[in-house]
Amino acid sequence: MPAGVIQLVYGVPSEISEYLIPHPIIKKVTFTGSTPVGKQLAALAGAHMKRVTMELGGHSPAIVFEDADVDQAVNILGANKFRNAGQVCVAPTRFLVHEKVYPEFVEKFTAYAKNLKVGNGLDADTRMGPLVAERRLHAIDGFVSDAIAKGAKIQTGGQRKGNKGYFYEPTVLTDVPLDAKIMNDEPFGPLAPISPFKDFDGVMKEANRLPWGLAAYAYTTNSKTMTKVGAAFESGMVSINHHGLALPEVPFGGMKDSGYGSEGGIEALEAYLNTKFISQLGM
Amino acid sequence: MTSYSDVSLMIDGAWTKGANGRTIPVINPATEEVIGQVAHAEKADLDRALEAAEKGFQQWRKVSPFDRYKIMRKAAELMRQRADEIAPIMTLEQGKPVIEAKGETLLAADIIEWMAEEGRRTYGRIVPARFENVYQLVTEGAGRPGRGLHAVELPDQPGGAQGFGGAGHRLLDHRQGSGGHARLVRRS
Repeated sequence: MPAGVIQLVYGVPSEISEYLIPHPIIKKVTFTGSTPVGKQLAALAGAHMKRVTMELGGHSPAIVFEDADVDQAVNILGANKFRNAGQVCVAPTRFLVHEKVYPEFVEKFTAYAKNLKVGNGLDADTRMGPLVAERRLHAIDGFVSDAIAKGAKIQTGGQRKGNKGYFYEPTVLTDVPLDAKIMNDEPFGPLAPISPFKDFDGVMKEANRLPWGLAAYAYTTNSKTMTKVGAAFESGMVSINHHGLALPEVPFGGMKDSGYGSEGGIEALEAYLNTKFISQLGM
Repeated sequence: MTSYSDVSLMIDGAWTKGANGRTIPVINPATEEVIGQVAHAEKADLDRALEAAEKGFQQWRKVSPFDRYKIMRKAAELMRQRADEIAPIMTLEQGKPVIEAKGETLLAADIIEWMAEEGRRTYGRIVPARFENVYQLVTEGAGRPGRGLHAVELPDQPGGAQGFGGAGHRLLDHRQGSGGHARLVRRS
Protein backbone atom coordinates (compact mmCIF):
# COMPACT_ATOMS: atom_id res chain seq x y z
CA MET A 1 0.00 0.00 0.00
CA PRO A 2 1.53 3.37 -0.96
CA ALA A 3 2.60 5.69 1.86
CA GLY A 4 -0.09 8.29 2.49
CA VAL A 5 -3.08 6.07 1.83
CA ILE A 6 -3.85 5.99 5.56
CA GLN A 7 -3.16 8.76 8.06
CA LEU A 8 -3.91 8.54 11.79
CA VAL A 9 -3.99 11.73 13.82
CA TYR A 10 -4.99 12.26 17.45
CA GLY A 11 -5.60 15.44 19.39
CA VAL A 12 -8.36 17.83 20.37
CA PRO A 13 -11.29 16.63 18.22
CA SER A 14 -12.94 19.99 17.63
CA GLU A 15 -9.64 21.56 16.50
CA ILE A 16 -8.92 18.70 14.14
CA SER A 17 -12.37 18.43 12.60
CA GLU A 18 -12.74 22.20 12.17
CA TYR A 19 -9.49 22.22 10.26
CA LEU A 20 -9.81 19.04 8.21
CA ILE A 21 -13.49 18.99 7.24
CA PRO A 22 -13.48 22.32 5.32
CA HIS A 23 -10.12 21.51 3.69
CA PRO A 24 -10.43 20.95 -0.08
CA ILE A 25 -8.34 17.76 0.02
CA ILE A 26 -10.97 16.07 2.23
CA LYS A 27 -13.85 14.71 0.17
CA LYS A 28 -15.85 12.55 2.56
CA VAL A 29 -16.49 12.50 6.29
CA THR A 30 -17.67 9.55 8.34
CA PHE A 31 -18.24 9.88 12.05
CA THR A 32 -19.00 7.47 14.87
CA GLY A 33 -20.02 9.19 18.09
CA SER A 34 -22.65 11.19 19.88
CA THR A 35 -25.66 12.86 18.27
CA PRO A 36 -24.75 16.44 19.39
CA VAL A 37 -21.22 16.17 17.95
CA GLY A 38 -22.56 14.45 14.83
CA LYS A 39 -24.94 17.33 14.16
CA GLN A 40 -22.10 19.84 14.46
CA LEU A 41 -19.88 17.89 12.08
CA ALA A 42 -22.68 17.29 9.58
CA ALA A 43 -23.46 21.02 9.61
CA LEU A 44 -19.81 21.88 9.02
CA ALA A 45 -19.55 19.30 6.25
CA GLY A 46 -22.75 20.66 4.72
CA ALA A 47 -21.35 24.17 4.63
CA HIS A 48 -18.51 22.80 2.50
CA MET A 49 -20.63 20.37 0.46
CA LYS A 50 -18.83 17.30 1.79
CA ARG A 51 -20.60 13.98 1.86
CA VAL A 52 -21.07 12.42 5.29
CA THR A 53 -21.91 9.15 6.99
CA MET A 54 -23.13 9.62 10.56
CA GLU A 55 -23.35 6.70 12.98
CA LEU A 56 -24.66 8.36 16.12
CA GLY A 57 -26.37 7.52 19.38
CA GLY A 58 -29.34 5.30 20.06
CA HIS A 59 -31.85 4.37 22.72
CA SER A 60 -32.83 0.90 21.56
CA PRO A 61 -36.18 -0.54 22.62
CA ALA A 62 -36.27 -4.28 23.35
CA ILE A 63 -39.81 -5.68 23.36
CA VAL A 64 -40.60 -9.02 24.95
CA PHE A 65 -44.09 -10.18 23.93
CA GLU A 66 -46.21 -12.53 26.03
CA ASP A 67 -45.50 -15.48 23.74
CA ALA A 68 -41.72 -15.00 23.81
CA ASP A 69 -39.23 -17.60 24.94
CA VAL A 70 -38.32 -15.69 28.10
CA ASP A 71 -35.12 -17.59 28.85
CA GLN A 72 -33.81 -16.97 25.35
CA ALA A 73 -34.72 -13.27 25.61
CA VAL A 74 -32.98 -12.94 28.98
CA ASN A 75 -29.80 -14.60 27.80
CA ILE A 76 -29.45 -12.74 24.50
CA LEU A 77 -30.57 -9.34 25.73
CA GLY A 78 -28.46 -9.74 28.87
CA ALA A 79 -25.33 -10.52 26.88
CA ASN A 80 -25.89 -7.50 24.64
CA LYS A 81 -26.93 -5.13 27.42
CA PHE A 82 -23.73 -5.70 29.35
CA ARG A 83 -21.31 -6.20 26.47
CA ASN A 84 -18.58 -3.56 26.78
CA ALA A 85 -20.28 -2.53 30.05
CA GLY A 86 -23.24 -1.22 28.05
CA GLN A 87 -21.08 1.21 26.08
CA VAL A 88 -22.38 0.11 22.70
CA CYS A 89 -24.51 2.27 20.39
CA VAL A 90 -26.89 -0.62 19.63
CA ALA A 91 -27.14 -1.88 23.23
CA PRO A 92 -30.75 -2.63 24.25
CA THR A 93 -31.80 0.24 26.54
CA ARG A 94 -35.55 0.33 27.18
CA PHE A 95 -36.79 -3.14 28.11
CA LEU A 96 -40.52 -3.30 27.38
CA VAL A 97 -42.06 -6.53 28.63
CA HIS A 98 -45.64 -7.76 28.31
CA GLU A 99 -47.34 -7.65 31.72
CA LYS A 100 -48.04 -11.42 31.67
CA VAL A 101 -44.35 -12.31 31.54
CA TYR A 102 -43.06 -9.18 33.28
CA PRO A 103 -42.52 -10.71 36.77
CA GLU A 104 -40.73 -13.73 35.30
CA PHE A 105 -38.55 -11.57 33.03
CA VAL A 106 -37.59 -9.17 35.83
CA GLU A 107 -36.65 -12.05 38.12
CA LYS A 108 -34.55 -13.87 35.53
CA PHE A 109 -32.90 -10.76 34.08
CA THR A 110 -32.01 -9.59 37.60
CA ALA A 111 -30.43 -12.98 38.31
CA TYR A 112 -28.49 -12.71 35.04
CA ALA A 113 -27.12 -9.29 36.04
CA LYS A 114 -26.23 -10.46 39.56
CA ASN A 115 -24.29 -13.42 38.25
CA LEU A 116 -22.13 -11.45 35.82
CA LYS A 117 -18.49 -11.55 36.80
CA VAL A 118 -17.25 -7.96 36.81
CA GLY A 119 -13.51 -7.36 36.85
CA ASN A 120 -10.33 -6.55 34.99
CA GLY A 121 -10.81 -7.47 31.34
CA LEU A 122 -7.44 -9.21 31.29
CA ASP A 123 -8.74 -11.88 33.69
CA ALA A 124 -10.04 -14.86 31.76
CA ASP A 125 -13.24 -15.26 33.82
CA THR A 126 -14.29 -11.59 33.54
CA ARG A 127 -17.56 -11.04 31.67
CA MET A 128 -17.85 -7.28 32.15
CA GLY A 129 -15.06 -4.74 32.54
CA PRO A 130 -15.02 -1.15 33.81
CA LEU A 131 -16.46 1.96 32.20
CA VAL A 132 -13.92 3.67 29.95
CA ALA A 133 -13.34 6.78 32.04
CA GLU A 134 -14.00 8.35 35.39
CA ARG A 135 -16.47 10.88 33.96
CA ARG A 136 -18.62 7.96 32.78
CA LEU A 137 -18.95 6.76 36.40
CA HIS A 138 -20.39 10.16 37.32
CA ALA A 139 -22.69 10.13 34.31
CA ILE A 140 -24.05 6.66 35.16
CA ASP A 141 -24.47 7.61 38.81
CA GLY A 142 -26.45 10.62 37.62
CA PHE A 143 -28.86 8.43 35.63
CA VAL A 144 -29.42 6.13 38.62
CA SER A 145 -29.89 8.82 41.27
CA ASP A 146 -32.27 10.72 38.99
CA ALA A 147 -34.35 7.55 38.43
CA ILE A 148 -34.47 6.79 42.17
CA ALA A 149 -35.49 10.35 42.98
CA LYS A 150 -38.40 9.93 40.55
CA GLY A 151 -39.58 6.68 42.13
CA ALA A 152 -37.60 3.91 40.42
CA LYS A 153 -36.72 0.72 42.28
CA ILE A 154 -33.33 -0.95 42.06
CA GLN A 155 -33.55 -4.73 41.56
CA THR A 156 -29.77 -5.13 41.58
CA GLY A 157 -26.67 -2.96 41.29
CA GLY A 158 -27.07 0.80 41.38
CA GLN A 159 -23.61 1.75 42.53
CA ARG A 160 -19.92 1.82 41.78
CA LYS A 161 -18.13 -1.46 42.42
CA GLY A 162 -15.07 -1.08 44.63
CA ASN A 163 -13.08 2.13 44.82
CA LYS A 164 -10.31 1.44 42.36
CA GLY A 165 -11.00 1.29 38.65
CA TYR A 166 -14.14 2.66 36.99
CA PHE A 167 -16.31 -0.37 37.69
CA TYR A 168 -20.08 -0.05 37.95
CA GLU A 169 -22.39 -2.84 39.00
CA PRO A 170 -24.71 -4.33 36.36
CA THR A 171 -27.94 -2.56 37.27
CA VAL A 172 -31.60 -3.44 36.80
CA LEU A 173 -34.25 -0.79 37.43
CA THR A 174 -38.05 -1.12 37.53
CA ASP A 175 -40.91 1.34 38.08
CA VAL A 176 -38.99 3.99 36.15
CA PRO A 177 -41.27 6.87 35.10
CA LEU A 178 -41.11 8.14 31.52
CA ASP A 179 -39.79 11.51 32.66
CA ALA A 180 -36.68 9.94 34.19
CA LYS A 181 -33.46 10.92 32.41
CA ILE A 182 -32.64 7.30 31.58
CA MET A 183 -35.88 6.95 29.60
CA ASN A 184 -34.93 9.93 27.43
CA ASP A 185 -31.12 10.19 27.17
CA GLU A 186 -28.72 7.51 25.99
CA PRO A 187 -27.18 5.99 29.15
CA PHE A 188 -24.19 4.28 27.49
CA GLY A 189 -23.64 2.12 30.55
CA PRO A 190 -24.71 -1.11 32.29
CA LEU A 191 -28.23 0.04 33.18
CA ALA A 192 -31.39 -1.87 32.27
CA PRO A 193 -34.75 -0.16 32.96
CA ILE A 194 -37.60 -2.68 32.58
CA SER A 195 -41.22 -1.57 32.08
CA PRO A 196 -44.42 -3.59 31.57
CA PHE A 197 -46.85 -3.04 28.68
CA LYS A 198 -50.39 -4.17 27.88
CA ASP A 199 -50.92 -4.08 24.11
CA PHE A 200 -49.18 -3.81 20.75
CA ASP A 201 -50.17 -0.24 19.91
CA GLY A 202 -49.17 1.01 23.35
CA VAL A 203 -45.74 -0.60 23.27
CA MET A 204 -45.02 0.59 19.73
CA LYS A 205 -45.90 4.12 20.74
CA GLU A 206 -43.35 3.90 23.53
CA ALA A 207 -40.76 2.15 21.33
CA ASN A 208 -40.93 4.98 18.75
CA ARG A 209 -41.36 7.84 21.24
CA LEU A 210 -37.75 9.11 21.22
CA PRO A 211 -35.94 11.00 18.45
CA TRP A 212 -33.44 8.15 17.96
CA GLY A 213 -33.82 5.19 15.62
CA LEU A 214 -30.70 3.05 15.53
CA ALA A 215 -31.44 -0.53 16.64
CA ALA A 216 -34.61 -2.20 17.92
CA TYR A 217 -35.26 -5.69 19.25
CA ALA A 218 -38.27 -7.93 19.71
CA TYR A 219 -38.88 -11.38 21.12
CA THR A 220 -42.00 -13.33 20.09
CA THR A 221 -42.83 -16.81 18.80
CA ASN A 222 -45.79 -15.49 16.76
CA SER A 223 -44.86 -14.95 13.13
CA LYS A 224 -47.63 -12.41 12.65
CA THR A 225 -46.24 -10.32 15.50
CA MET A 226 -42.74 -10.61 14.00
CA THR A 227 -43.95 -9.13 10.73
CA LYS A 228 -45.98 -6.39 12.41
CA VAL A 229 -43.21 -5.33 14.77
CA GLY A 230 -40.58 -5.38 12.03
CA ALA A 231 -42.66 -2.92 10.02
CA ALA A 232 -43.65 -0.74 12.98
CA PHE A 233 -40.23 0.04 14.47
CA GLU A 234 -38.88 3.44 13.39
CA SER A 235 -35.35 2.17 13.40
CA GLY A 236 -32.49 1.63 10.98
CA MET A 237 -31.95 -1.93 12.22
CA VAL A 238 -34.37 -4.48 13.67
CA SER A 239 -33.39 -7.84 15.10
CA ILE A 240 -36.08 -10.32 16.10
CA ASN A 241 -35.49 -13.27 18.45
CA HIS A 242 -31.72 -12.90 18.22
CA HIS A 243 -28.94 -10.33 17.98
CA GLY A 244 -28.19 -10.31 14.28
CA LEU A 245 -26.63 -6.89 13.65
CA ALA A 246 -23.26 -5.48 12.67
CA LEU A 247 -22.08 -8.02 10.13
CA PRO A 248 -19.93 -6.90 7.19
CA GLU A 249 -22.48 -7.71 4.50
CA VAL A 250 -25.53 -6.00 6.03
CA PRO A 251 -26.36 -2.30 6.43
CA PHE A 252 -25.43 -0.70 9.74
CA GLY A 253 -26.99 2.68 10.38
CA GLY A 254 -29.83 4.63 11.86
CA MET A 255 -32.81 6.86 11.20
CA LYS A 256 -33.85 10.14 12.78
CA ASP A 257 -31.31 11.51 15.32
CA SER A 258 -29.23 8.33 15.02
CA GLY A 259 -27.81 9.69 11.78
CA TYR A 260 -27.77 8.70 8.15
CA GLY A 261 -25.75 6.58 5.81
CA SER A 262 -24.55 3.07 6.46
CA GLU A 263 -21.36 1.52 7.77
CA GLY A 264 -22.01 -1.94 6.40
CA GLY A 265 -23.14 -3.69 3.25
CA ILE A 266 -23.01 -2.30 -0.25
CA GLU A 267 -24.52 0.98 1.04
CA ALA A 268 -21.29 1.65 2.96
CA LEU A 269 -19.23 1.45 -0.21
CA GLU A 270 -21.64 3.55 -2.28
CA ALA A 271 -21.09 6.52 0.01
CA TYR A 272 -17.51 6.68 -1.26
CA LEU A 273 -18.22 6.40 -4.94
CA ASN A 274 -18.79 9.21 -7.40
CA THR A 275 -21.55 8.55 -9.88
CA LYS A 276 -20.65 9.96 -13.28
CA PHE A 277 -22.75 10.04 -16.41
CA ILE A 278 -21.12 10.13 -19.85
CA SER A 279 -23.19 10.64 -22.99
CA GLN A 280 -21.36 10.23 -26.26
CA LEU A 281 -22.51 10.73 -29.82
CA GLY A 282 -20.69 8.39 -32.19
CA MET A 283 -18.70 10.11 -34.95
CA MET B 1 1.65 -9.49 31.18
CA THR B 2 0.73 -7.40 28.19
CA SER B 3 2.70 -4.21 27.80
CA TYR B 4 1.33 -1.01 26.36
CA SER B 5 3.39 1.09 23.97
CA ASP B 6 3.03 4.80 23.42
CA VAL B 7 0.76 5.66 20.51
CA SER B 8 2.08 7.64 17.54
CA LEU B 9 0.56 9.48 14.64
CA MET B 10 0.71 7.80 11.23
CA ILE B 11 1.57 10.28 8.49
CA ASP B 12 2.95 9.53 5.06
CA GLY B 13 3.69 5.92 5.88
CA ALA B 14 5.66 6.61 9.06
CA TRP B 15 4.88 6.51 12.78
CA THR B 16 5.67 9.92 14.18
CA LYS B 17 5.40 12.14 17.26
CA GLY B 18 3.43 15.37 17.14
CA ALA B 19 5.32 18.40 15.80
CA ASN B 20 5.59 19.94 19.28
CA GLY B 21 6.11 16.66 21.10
CA ARG B 22 2.91 17.12 23.12
CA THR B 23 1.17 13.99 24.40
CA ILE B 24 -2.05 12.94 26.11
CA PRO B 25 -1.95 10.32 28.89
CA VAL B 26 -3.72 6.98 28.40
CA ILE B 27 -5.36 5.57 31.54
CA ASN B 28 -6.22 1.93 32.19
CA PRO B 29 -9.82 2.17 33.44
CA ALA B 30 -9.48 -1.04 35.45
CA THR B 31 -6.53 0.25 37.53
CA GLU B 32 -6.62 4.06 37.02
CA GLU B 33 -2.91 3.90 36.16
CA VAL B 34 -1.33 5.90 33.36
CA ILE B 35 -0.11 3.20 31.00
CA GLY B 36 1.23 5.30 28.15
CA GLN B 37 1.02 8.46 26.11
CA VAL B 38 -0.63 9.25 22.80
CA ALA B 39 0.86 11.80 20.43
CA HIS B 40 -1.04 15.07 20.09
CA ALA B 41 -1.27 16.37 16.51
CA GLU B 42 -0.56 20.05 15.78
CA LYS B 43 -1.73 22.03 12.78
CA ALA B 44 1.62 21.35 11.10
CA ASP B 45 0.94 17.62 11.45
CA LEU B 46 -2.49 18.01 9.93
CA ASP B 47 -0.99 19.88 6.97
CA ARG B 48 1.51 17.08 6.45
CA ALA B 49 -1.28 14.52 6.74
CA LEU B 50 -3.34 16.35 4.12
CA GLU B 51 -0.43 16.62 1.75
CA ALA B 52 0.39 12.94 2.20
CA ALA B 53 -3.25 11.98 1.68
CA GLU B 54 -3.39 13.86 -1.59
CA LYS B 55 -0.20 12.19 -2.77
CA GLY B 56 -1.33 8.77 -1.56
CA PHE B 57 -4.69 9.21 -3.25
CA GLN B 58 -3.12 10.00 -6.59
CA GLN B 59 -1.14 6.76 -6.37
CA TRP B 60 -3.85 4.57 -4.88
CA ARG B 61 -6.47 5.56 -7.46
CA LYS B 62 -4.23 4.11 -10.13
CA VAL B 63 -4.07 0.74 -8.36
CA SER B 64 -6.66 -1.56 -9.91
CA PRO B 65 -9.55 -2.79 -7.73
CA PHE B 66 -8.14 -6.29 -8.05
CA ASP B 67 -4.73 -5.25 -6.73
CA ARG B 68 -6.31 -3.22 -3.92
CA TYR B 69 -8.32 -6.30 -3.05
CA LYS B 70 -5.17 -8.39 -2.78
CA ILE B 71 -3.52 -5.84 -0.47
CA MET B 72 -6.61 -5.54 1.73
CA ARG B 73 -7.07 -9.31 1.92
CA LYS B 74 -3.49 -9.58 3.14
CA ALA B 75 -4.13 -6.83 5.68
CA ALA B 76 -7.14 -8.71 7.03
CA GLU B 77 -5.09 -11.89 7.30
CA LEU B 78 -2.36 -10.07 9.26
CA MET B 79 -4.98 -8.71 11.65
CA ARG B 80 -6.25 -12.22 12.27
CA GLN B 81 -2.73 -13.45 12.92
CA ARG B 82 -2.15 -10.57 15.37
CA ALA B 83 -5.55 -10.68 17.07
CA ASP B 84 -4.04 -12.18 20.23
CA GLU B 85 -1.64 -9.21 20.47
CA ILE B 86 -4.15 -6.51 19.54
CA ALA B 87 -6.97 -7.66 21.86
CA PRO B 88 -5.19 -7.15 25.22
CA ILE B 89 -4.03 -3.67 24.09
CA MET B 90 -7.68 -2.74 23.59
CA THR B 91 -8.51 -4.18 27.01
CA LEU B 92 -5.74 -2.21 28.73
CA GLU B 93 -6.88 1.16 27.42
CA GLN B 94 -10.60 0.53 27.19
CA GLY B 95 -11.53 -2.10 29.78
CA LYS B 96 -13.56 -4.64 27.84
CA PRO B 97 -12.86 -8.35 28.38
CA VAL B 98 -10.14 -9.74 26.12
CA ILE B 99 -12.59 -12.18 24.57
CA GLU B 100 -14.77 -9.26 23.39
CA ALA B 101 -11.75 -7.35 22.11
CA LYS B 102 -10.55 -10.35 20.17
CA GLY B 103 -13.99 -10.89 18.66
CA GLU B 104 -14.05 -7.27 17.49
CA THR B 105 -10.59 -7.59 15.98
CA LEU B 106 -11.61 -10.67 14.02
CA LEU B 107 -14.83 -8.99 12.90
CA ALA B 108 -12.81 -5.98 11.74
CA ALA B 109 -10.70 -8.30 9.61
CA ASP B 110 -13.89 -9.76 8.13
CA ILE B 111 -15.13 -6.25 7.31
CA ILE B 112 -11.90 -5.30 5.55
CA GLU B 113 -12.03 -8.50 3.55
CA TRP B 114 -15.68 -8.13 2.59
CA MET B 115 -15.19 -4.53 1.50
CA ALA B 116 -12.10 -5.52 -0.47
CA GLU B 117 -14.18 -8.07 -2.34
CA GLU B 118 -17.05 -5.64 -2.82
CA GLY B 119 -14.69 -3.04 -4.24
CA ARG B 120 -14.21 -5.33 -7.23
CA ARG B 121 -17.94 -5.23 -7.93
CA THR B 122 -18.67 -1.54 -8.32
CA TYR B 123 -20.43 -1.95 -11.62
CA GLY B 124 -21.61 0.94 -13.75
CA ARG B 125 -24.35 0.58 -16.38
CA ILE B 126 -25.26 1.41 -19.95
CA VAL B 127 -28.53 3.31 -20.33
CA PRO B 128 -30.31 2.76 -23.66
CA ALA B 129 -30.48 6.13 -25.40
CA ARG B 130 -33.54 7.69 -27.00
CA PHE B 131 -31.43 9.07 -29.86
CA GLU B 132 -29.63 7.15 -32.53
CA ASN B 133 -25.89 6.67 -32.28
CA VAL B 134 -25.75 7.93 -28.66
CA TYR B 135 -23.96 5.89 -26.07
CA GLN B 136 -24.90 6.61 -22.41
CA LEU B 137 -22.67 5.31 -19.69
CA VAL B 138 -22.98 5.59 -15.90
CA THR B 139 -19.76 4.90 -14.01
CA GLU B 140 -19.49 4.12 -10.31
CA GLY B 141 -16.30 4.90 -8.74
CA ALA B 142 -13.67 2.26 -8.95
CA GLY B 143 -10.81 4.54 -9.85
CA ARG B 144 -12.80 7.60 -8.87
CA PRO B 145 -13.04 7.35 -5.11
CA GLY B 146 -13.04 10.30 -2.78
CA ARG B 147 -10.63 10.93 0.00
CA GLY B 148 -12.33 10.37 3.30
CA LEU B 149 -12.04 11.55 6.85
CA HIS B 150 -13.11 9.04 9.45
CA ALA B 151 -13.53 10.65 12.83
CA VAL B 152 -14.13 8.47 15.86
CA GLU B 153 -15.26 9.91 19.12
CA LEU B 154 -13.25 7.57 21.31
CA PRO B 155 -11.78 9.68 24.04
CA ASP B 156 -9.73 7.14 25.83
CA GLN B 157 -8.60 4.32 23.60
CA PRO B 158 -6.08 5.13 20.91
CA GLY B 159 -3.92 2.01 21.04
CA GLY B 160 -6.31 -0.48 19.56
CA ALA B 161 -6.56 1.74 16.54
CA GLN B 162 -2.82 1.88 16.30
CA GLY B 163 -2.70 -1.89 16.57
CA PHE B 164 -4.94 -2.10 13.55
CA GLY B 165 -3.06 0.64 11.75
CA GLY B 166 0.18 -1.04 12.72
CA ALA B 167 -0.99 -4.16 11.02
CA GLY B 168 -0.67 -1.84 8.04
CA HIS B 169 -4.26 -1.72 7.26
CA ARG B 170 -7.55 -0.35 6.44
CA LEU B 171 -9.62 -1.19 9.46
CA LEU B 172 -10.09 2.49 10.15
CA ASP B 173 -11.15 2.84 6.62
CA HIS B 174 -13.28 -0.24 6.28
CA ARG B 175 -16.20 1.77 4.97
CA GLN B 176 -14.26 2.96 2.00
CA GLY B 177 -14.08 -0.12 -0.11
CA SER B 178 -12.52 0.81 -3.33
CA GLY B 179 -9.95 3.21 -2.12
CA GLY B 180 -10.63 6.39 -0.23
CA HIS B 181 -8.23 7.59 2.37
CA ALA B 182 -8.81 7.68 6.06
CA ARG B 183 -7.67 9.66 8.99
CA LEU B 184 -8.55 8.63 12.47
CA VAL B 185 -9.16 11.59 14.68
CA ARG B 186 -9.01 11.10 18.37
CA ARG B 187 -10.36 13.45 20.96
CA SER B 188 -8.49 14.19 24.14
